[in-house]
Amino acid sequence: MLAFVARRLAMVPPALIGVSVMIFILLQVLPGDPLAGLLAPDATEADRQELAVRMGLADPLPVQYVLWLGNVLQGDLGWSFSRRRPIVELIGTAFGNTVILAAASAIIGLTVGITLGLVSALVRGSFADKVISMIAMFGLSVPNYWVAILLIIVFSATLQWLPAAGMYGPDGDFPDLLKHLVMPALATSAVTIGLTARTTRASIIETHGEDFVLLLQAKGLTGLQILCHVLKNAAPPIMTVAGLQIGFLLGGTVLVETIFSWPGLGQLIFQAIASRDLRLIQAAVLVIAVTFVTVNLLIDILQTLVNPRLRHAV
Amino acid sequence: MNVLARSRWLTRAVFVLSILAVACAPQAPAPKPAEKAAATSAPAQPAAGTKPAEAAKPAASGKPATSNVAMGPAIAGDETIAKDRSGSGGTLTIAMSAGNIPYPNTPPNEGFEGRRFVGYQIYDGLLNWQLDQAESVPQPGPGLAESWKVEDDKLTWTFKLRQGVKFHDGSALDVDAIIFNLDRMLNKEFEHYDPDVSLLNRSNLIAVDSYKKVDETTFQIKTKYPFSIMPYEMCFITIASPTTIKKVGNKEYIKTPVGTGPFKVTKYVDGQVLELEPNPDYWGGKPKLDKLILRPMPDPATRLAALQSGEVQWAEVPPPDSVAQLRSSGFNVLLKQYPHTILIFLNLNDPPFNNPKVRQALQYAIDRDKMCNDLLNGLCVPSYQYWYEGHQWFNTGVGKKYGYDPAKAKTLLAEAGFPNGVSINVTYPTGGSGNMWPQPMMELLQANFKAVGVDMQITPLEWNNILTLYRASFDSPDTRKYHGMFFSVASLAPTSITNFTQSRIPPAGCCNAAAYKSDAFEKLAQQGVEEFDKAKQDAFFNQAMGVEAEDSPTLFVVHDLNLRVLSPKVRGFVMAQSWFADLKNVWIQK
Repeated sequence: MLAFVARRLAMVPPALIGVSVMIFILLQVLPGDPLAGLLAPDATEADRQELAVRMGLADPLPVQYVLWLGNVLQGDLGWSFSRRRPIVELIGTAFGNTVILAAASAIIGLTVGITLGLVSALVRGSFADKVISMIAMFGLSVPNYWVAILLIIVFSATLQWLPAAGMYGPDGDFPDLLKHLVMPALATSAVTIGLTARTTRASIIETHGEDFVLLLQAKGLTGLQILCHVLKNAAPPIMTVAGLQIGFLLGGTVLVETIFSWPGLGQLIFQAIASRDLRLIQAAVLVIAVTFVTVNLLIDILQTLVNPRLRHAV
Repeated sequence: MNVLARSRWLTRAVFVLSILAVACAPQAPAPKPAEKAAATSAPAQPAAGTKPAEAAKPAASGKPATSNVAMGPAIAGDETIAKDRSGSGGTLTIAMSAGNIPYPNTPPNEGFEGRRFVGYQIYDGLLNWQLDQAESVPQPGPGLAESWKVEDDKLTWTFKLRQGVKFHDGSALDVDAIIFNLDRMLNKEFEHYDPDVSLLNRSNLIAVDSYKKVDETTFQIKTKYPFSIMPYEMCFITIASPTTIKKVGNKEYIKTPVGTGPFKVTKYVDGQVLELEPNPDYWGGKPKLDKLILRPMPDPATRLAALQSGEVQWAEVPPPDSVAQLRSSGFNVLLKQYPHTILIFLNLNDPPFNNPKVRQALQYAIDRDKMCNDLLNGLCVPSYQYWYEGHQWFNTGVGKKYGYDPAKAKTLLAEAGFPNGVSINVTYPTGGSGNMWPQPMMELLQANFKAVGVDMQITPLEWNNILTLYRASFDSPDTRKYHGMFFSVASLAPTSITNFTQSRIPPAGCCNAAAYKSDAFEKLAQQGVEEFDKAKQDAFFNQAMGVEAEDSPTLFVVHDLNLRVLSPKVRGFVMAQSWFADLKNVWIQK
């Protein structure tokens, strides 16, 4: 087990360096001036040059990258010129807010998705199965920003049950947070529900058709006991999808966060791109990459605990 | 019906039902009768012991022309709200269009919205815009400087500091504080020099040569050359507390901003909220509100929903197609002309726009009334010049000569050597603060130009890219790839005029984006800058902009009307002809 974890961990640094180099290069070819949004509308070329020197953008590109990487390894993600704050502070706060939203979305999405997938698999071919498949298709197909706007129209503007935007209201307490969390979590969980339901259904149906199930039936196990075995064997693909979804949610959903003014990582990156805050974009993408890698590593470890045969697969 | 077909049928049925559910959703509840009455033109009844509210007046003439755009009850409702100073108290929550809370420095970011809701609420300028009136364009007036004059040398400005003013941290405003702030912006050797604050204030202080303390109540600023428009620039220079800056340093300052303004910060969470409370010791009178809350809501649909649900009482720029519904629901839809113009900057270096007849032809080809009435639902008025009729720099000689006249456009094109039309490529931003709705506007222009034989290809670019091209001007190769560029200008100061002078052509200066070169204009603009008699100064600027209008280095499209919607409970607000807002007399009716 330790060897497995060590092998996986060894793959992480090259992956992260690769991501950081790629995003660094991509940002250099992004059209537009990274300083345009930081200058007054009537700034001169001399003003621009002064700012470029202060931001280190006048250095050669390899020098810029090495300096930045060196600072990152020391825990300094740099200074955001567009937000006038240390980037580690901005990302820390935004990431925390995204974790809250992602956790709520994941809980809703995975719980509902797995439940629907399980029910659908158990009543395969029935009308209920078709309804669940339709719900899953809806979740996968409908854009989450459309769902977001629909929720706002119904629950905020019309029924006035829930606040339209923000993370906290005047009360600022936990119930207030929950009220603000409901709609964004529902909007972002739609895809997770759809994907998880379909994967769960397919995995359970496929596992149920395997030879060992016939053996278990021949041995006289009850339906529930067989189901437990089936679920254990069907779990790996579901966990893989769940891990990818959690990683995706932790990266922040830009559109939903913008519509709900949820101050998370997605909105932070969107604003950073709009203002060409290159260091903030670089750092945020690196954080997302680290998150993805970490979450998937944890999922892989979990899968090997569920199915020890997988330990030797990597 | 087989399984697959049944699934498809069910999917379609659910989709259609959900569309119907949204379309048939009940409207936001209309305000109660008492609130609805407040939105009409009848004057509010004064509370006992207060002055009687003045009767609502129509907007005075010689001021913003309403053109033939239906203003509806909005203007009458606006006047009633403005005059109702009968109460006080309440919490006002504003849904800003900015993506984030403007950081509260001097100046804030997020453009003029940052100044509007943060900068000019927390801070005072050396001079302040006179915003508590709607009849005329706000001019520079007394701020932290009670009075000012230019000395006989025409270079030295002497300011008398307002006495008895305190910063929110309790420290006194004195001349040393003014010098501290100027050093923070201009003196690189100063311990508390802030290069970012310096950069953002530099263009307003470009004419400054030196400054000094004269005595405990007086300071002087000397300019490099006669610069009569100095008062306008001083409105942009806001003053922060030296005590706090020394205590926390420039980098941490925005977390504990301190000014002398009508409101002080009580809570600031980046990305979420800025809460302010009235400054009880404010020299201009304690604001009426109990609390002011600012929330960023970049999505217009979200701002609309927040307003309709009562979460906010003030929404900037809701979706234009919601205006009629909001009006009928009793909300106060405020519209006012102000110095904000949508233009197309033209490439004067290359054909066809190096020919003035082509430029003028396209001025006549634009159906501005259609754009404002049909496309934008009355949210703009036609622009026939840089400024609107009634503005002090609107040239009455040129007047509204560029009315819609496609026949004249074709004649001019033929005279210019393009009887069969011409192809052009004009770029526009896909978004960006203050740009209104570029894509549909450009599509309408495309249709207008096609009707006179001009085939306009439109190229969308991100706002950041447009800014880059604008700063480089049409003298640069990248910008010269296009024949024109959609842009919006905030023309609230004479620098909007001097921006067309040759010294402002990049890279030496900024921002004569069209690289306009006219000796006649140059002379008049310079005369205006050197003329210290206001009436004569305005006359020179007026004439200069007449020359500019004739030469047409820019196509005039429309003037924005500053759409914002308020709950009928919001009282005491005067919608000035300005980008900024005076919130001191605003209160919330219970």
